[in-house]
Amino acid sequence: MVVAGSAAAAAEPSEAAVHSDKFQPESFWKDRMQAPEDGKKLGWFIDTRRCFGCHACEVSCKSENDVPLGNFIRQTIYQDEGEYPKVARMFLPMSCQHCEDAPCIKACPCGALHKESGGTVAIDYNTCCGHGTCVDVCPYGAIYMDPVAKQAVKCHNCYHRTELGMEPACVPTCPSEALHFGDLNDPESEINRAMNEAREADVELTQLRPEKQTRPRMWFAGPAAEVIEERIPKEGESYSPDAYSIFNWKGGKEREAST
Amino acid sequence: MTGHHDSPAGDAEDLEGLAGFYRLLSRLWVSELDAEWLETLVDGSLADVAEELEFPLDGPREEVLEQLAIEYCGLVIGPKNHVPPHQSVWVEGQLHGQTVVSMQQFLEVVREEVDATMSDHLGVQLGVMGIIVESLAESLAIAETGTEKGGDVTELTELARVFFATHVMWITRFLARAGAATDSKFYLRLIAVTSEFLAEEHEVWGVD
Amino acid sequence: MNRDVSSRRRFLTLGLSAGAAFAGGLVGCRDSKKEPSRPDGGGSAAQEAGAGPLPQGIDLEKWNRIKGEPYRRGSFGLMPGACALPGPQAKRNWPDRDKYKDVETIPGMCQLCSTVCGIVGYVKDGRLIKVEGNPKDPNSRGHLCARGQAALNHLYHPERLLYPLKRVGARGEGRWKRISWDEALDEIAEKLKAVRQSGHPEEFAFHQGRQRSKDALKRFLDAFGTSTQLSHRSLCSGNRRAANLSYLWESDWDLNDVEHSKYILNFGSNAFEAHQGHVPFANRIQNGRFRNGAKLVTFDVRLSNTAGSSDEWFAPFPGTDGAVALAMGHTILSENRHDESFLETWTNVSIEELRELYEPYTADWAERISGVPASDIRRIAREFAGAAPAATTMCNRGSSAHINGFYNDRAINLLNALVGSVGQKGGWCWSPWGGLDPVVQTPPMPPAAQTTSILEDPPEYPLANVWRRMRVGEIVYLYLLQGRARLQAYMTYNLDSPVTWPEESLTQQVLGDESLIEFHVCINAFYNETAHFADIVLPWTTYLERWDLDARASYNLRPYVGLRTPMIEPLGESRDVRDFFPELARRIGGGMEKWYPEQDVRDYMQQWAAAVPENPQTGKSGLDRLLDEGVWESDLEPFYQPFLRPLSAEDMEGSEVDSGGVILKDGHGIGIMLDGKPVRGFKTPSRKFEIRSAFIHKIGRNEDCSELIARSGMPRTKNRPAEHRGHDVEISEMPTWFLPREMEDLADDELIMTSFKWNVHNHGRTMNLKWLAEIVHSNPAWLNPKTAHQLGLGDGDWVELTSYYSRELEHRSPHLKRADLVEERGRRKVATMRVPIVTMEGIHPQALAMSNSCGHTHYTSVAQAKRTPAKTAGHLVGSDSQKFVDADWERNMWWEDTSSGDHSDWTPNTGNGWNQNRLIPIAPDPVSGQQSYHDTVISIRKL
Repeated sequence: MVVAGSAAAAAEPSEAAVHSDKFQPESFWKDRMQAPEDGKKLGWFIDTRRCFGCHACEVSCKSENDVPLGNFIRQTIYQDEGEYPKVARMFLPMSCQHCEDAPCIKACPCGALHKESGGTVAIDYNTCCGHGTCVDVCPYGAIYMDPVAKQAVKCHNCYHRTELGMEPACVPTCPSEALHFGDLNDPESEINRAMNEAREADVELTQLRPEKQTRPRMWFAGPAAEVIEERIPKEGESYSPDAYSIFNWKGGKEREAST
Repeated sequence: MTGHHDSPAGDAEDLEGLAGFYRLLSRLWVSELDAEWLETLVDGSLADVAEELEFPLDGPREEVLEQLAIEYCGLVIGPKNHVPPHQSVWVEGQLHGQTVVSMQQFLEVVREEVDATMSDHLGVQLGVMGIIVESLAESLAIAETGTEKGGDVTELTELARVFFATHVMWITRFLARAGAATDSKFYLRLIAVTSEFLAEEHEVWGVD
Repeated sequence: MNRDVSSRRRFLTLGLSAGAAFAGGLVGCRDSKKEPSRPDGGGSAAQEAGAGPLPQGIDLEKWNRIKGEPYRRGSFGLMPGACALPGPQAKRNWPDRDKYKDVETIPGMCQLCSTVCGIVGYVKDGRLIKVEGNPKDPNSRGHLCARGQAALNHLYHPERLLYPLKRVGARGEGRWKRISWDEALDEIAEKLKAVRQSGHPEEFAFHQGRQRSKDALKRFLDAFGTSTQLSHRSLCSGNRRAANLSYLWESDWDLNDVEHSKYILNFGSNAFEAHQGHVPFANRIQNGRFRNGAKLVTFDVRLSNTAGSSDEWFAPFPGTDGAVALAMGHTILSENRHDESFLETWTNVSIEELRELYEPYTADWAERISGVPASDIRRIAREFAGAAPAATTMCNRGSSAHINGFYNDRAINLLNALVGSVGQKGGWCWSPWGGLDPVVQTPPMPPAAQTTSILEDPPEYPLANVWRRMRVGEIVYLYLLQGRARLQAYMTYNLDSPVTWPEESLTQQVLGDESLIEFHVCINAFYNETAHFADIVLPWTTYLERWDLDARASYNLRPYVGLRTPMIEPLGESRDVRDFFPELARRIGGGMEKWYPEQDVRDYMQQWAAAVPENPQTGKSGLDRLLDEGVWESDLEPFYQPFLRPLSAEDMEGSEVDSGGVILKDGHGIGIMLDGKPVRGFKTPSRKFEIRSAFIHKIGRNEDCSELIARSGMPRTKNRPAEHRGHDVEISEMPTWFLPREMEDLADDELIMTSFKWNVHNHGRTMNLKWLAEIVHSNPAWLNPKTAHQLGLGDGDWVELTSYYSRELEHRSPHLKRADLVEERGRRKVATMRVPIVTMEGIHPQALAMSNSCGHTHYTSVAQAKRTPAKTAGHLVGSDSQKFVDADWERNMWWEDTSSGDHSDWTPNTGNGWNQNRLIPIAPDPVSGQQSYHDTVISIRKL
């Protein structure tokens, strides 16, 4: 499910968060749910209208983070829609939504998941012992278990780069300028410029799976988020290399019949 | 035993032998044999050692030399279906990884210079281990004479232990793959000898 | 501990005996910089390095300085080490906040495709740790595609060639031994010297794949004295370039000003995934659409990512783009939506002549041929004309890589003239600065070699070499096989012809035949299908380890120059041609050496980059400025409407104006009178946009065109040489169009095969990059579900494809004499191949699409989707610790095909795919020689 709304509206909790019996008691994670107070609110705006599925963001991420083959911190998912001769191809670059009410933080039994500056959801590797509970509760399948380290891995907004004034590795490389990252509290930030530009063009900004009540910090423009929503991994899943198989994104009647 | 200084690997003479064996393996792994080394192994000062280790080196010298060059190339240089002899590949999935930076540090410790690409080659690493062990042997020998303090023995033992764990232990993985990848009689024998030797060494230096 | 005392004792005893042979230090660690060590104590590395005898050889102070580190921050956890070893083992401090501390940033230029985007490398401890786009690059603007982001896979690939290799055994047998550079260069020099002395220097051919070191290659070949420099241009862009040249002469490359467009009409270009202008072009298309409100309409047989994210997509029958374009022109003219002023003033035909030309090409006619609804053709023509002058076409191999491709592109380009968008902001532009000159000047070059070779200038292709040397790459192996040329020596460079050339088996046959190619030196960073047939393989540097000045025709419509520079020391013994060609030239001697005055590469680069002006902020100029910033863009005005630029009084001095208004100086055209004022005009013989090209017609007939050439002011243009006589080709001077005759009567099981490129691959080199191969490694054939249903096929079913030779070519190019291909079903059969299919809504029902880049047989194990190395047999002795597992090297290639060729066991999305060039015949467009990649008739049979 994809719901449209302004950044402000979506950020307000309208009902109680979806509960999981995998969550730890609130007292255990409450502190870790709080980002250090520095006035920043980091978020993402993905303009899928511009994305043409080039995979540069994913490969840059692999290179930056040395992600093993078969595992992904981010992935662009394709989907063909329509019947010949009216066919279109959609692209949805996916990664951690850096939820304000992050289920992974609530479920982490070792206290490794926490928030860094600006609300970046990150993992402390001195603490993570690989229970994988975070994978079980992430509604976006954005976490994987490293096959050798046996620890959880997810997008960390490249805080090791942003602290030095660099952008996350996926952002500057994007040839279509579809990825925007930055401080939502800064009216001059690039992400606010891009989101305002879209709003002025009457483009709806949507969020993924708002019914999960996680208050994600990622907004999308364009129809891809809605079309591809069903193919995004869910609780207990991670990004899969199968997403790249043409047999899985080909669309068409045959695929519909088989699923 | 009064006056007798020991390390986990044995006494001075043991370590001298150990160093010699590392050096032998280093030479046999670091490149294909040239005419002089083949001569040394067949008819020269290493003939008894080569025979004892059952290295199959019989045949007309030129032919053996050519054959070994082809087999060595096919096993570790390539151009295809080879087993890369560089540690970076095995721990980082690529050539010239952080492993090379570490090796360059150890090469400075043993005061050797090897170009960057070669520095994490197993032949070089066995050679560096040989140098460390040899200096440990000499240190022990000095300590045994009682004329010098044996302080270096502790340091050098730690150095040997750390180097073995960091840059030698991985070689067994390489050997297992190499053994499956070649049908060279000589290199199969060298793989077997090196494997057996490193298994022994693991017992001595290994950190569990 | 259950140590086997006797076994260990035996090693120690043997070691004692062995030790005597070693004097200390590292023995035999072969290093190009040192003499090989000798046994029995001679010349140890330690002694050469000046170290004293042991144990003083150990630097315990150094050890004490470094040994604390591992215990504090070793990535191995408890594993000690001299410094942190990373890897996918248990993570600590990840991401590493220190990663970008103490790094050096070095500018460079990507070379994984021909777009050559500016890059920046982060180097730490002599290692390249990340590559990003260079924001200062005016063309690519700091963006980099997935290929460029896989740079580390390329540079540090575990199977890179590190040493020169010499073949042992038969050619193509795959047995090699390592040799030194000295041995290699001596042997090559001896052979090349013999070629020179034979009096047939042209029998030394240099065959390049992607190259960006033009000066270095040409210097060597001209100094040697051969002009047999072969390329792949005709496999790429020959027709598009020829079509552009026929109108413009000045440029072979249209630069569509899409960022400022309101309407972008795309015929078969996949700019979002491939295209020579890829990232810079794609970025500007999206800016044009989402910041300037442009509409993007794509015509393509297959739904590429470009087509799939266009505002509208139409699939014309393969090769009919030109018919659609002509019909749009018909609508524009018949509805008087044309730009009368531009056509009257700036083209060399009258409106009446145009109306006559377009008369037969109605939208209904085009619908019958292409299947595109006439109503859409008319509507889009109106929209396009309505948006002009901020409207442009764009096209590429989709329209041009056909037997009628020259005429397809002629027809498409003409639309821009009809609506007056030629040279306009937001329109169809070009620039005269395709490369580096005249921004910087190459250090003095030898005079051009004057040899002729049928391989380099086949007489049958009139437009291949007249304006520019485009050559006809795909006929090289066929002509060698036919005995029309011979090669004593053949040097390949960054080439993977068995995979990238049509007719894989013919290519392999010729490369493997020592009577056809006597001696083959392959220069490449990796072993591949070409190296497999070499006699000597030289390990080449990657683009991250070598020097170049480089640039492309920029979409900013002004020139710039960028720098490629070694970011790290070359790995192993890999060397660039800039480094070893001088040595080779000196060994060959005979005057060659004088073109390599003693200087290192950096001196040469300094001289070459001298014209780069000073940056007032940094005070740096020339090479220093480029080393600092990576790139310099000139401040020339963008090349809009160059034809209106006035000529100065100085220009006009001593000139004369002929009856047609053309201004000539010393017999050469310099401009044209416009309303009584002298302006530059177009650089064609008429100084106008040449819709009627007398030149192409005359040159096709081998007529003398000296006068036309002089009037054009493009003096590099050549008449065809005497050897071309008797090889006349009728080329229509006006745009026209025809349907290749093999397409006229397709049987029910016959389809047209088209090929394409994925956004994560270039043609022959990227499948060995693991992060890219993971995304795309296979290429099942695309089939429309309707067609599949008729043939009783579904997803993942296997078929046998049989390809056929073109009847049009049999008719038009009888010299190709393909009697070797047996007749079957009234067509000449080329090859068969078995592949699985995937049904896709996004493909024309009479087309079948297979991507290139796949099906490697001798490239690295990644490219072959084989787990590497061979699977472990038996027990791992000793310290087999989990901590030493690398997730990629030992558990890599999850996409390995384990079916052993049994189709029923095949799992979709496994394996490394199939080489579509096995099926595609050698099929040069009879006009320019462009390989026709997209119109092979194939029959399909269910297995």
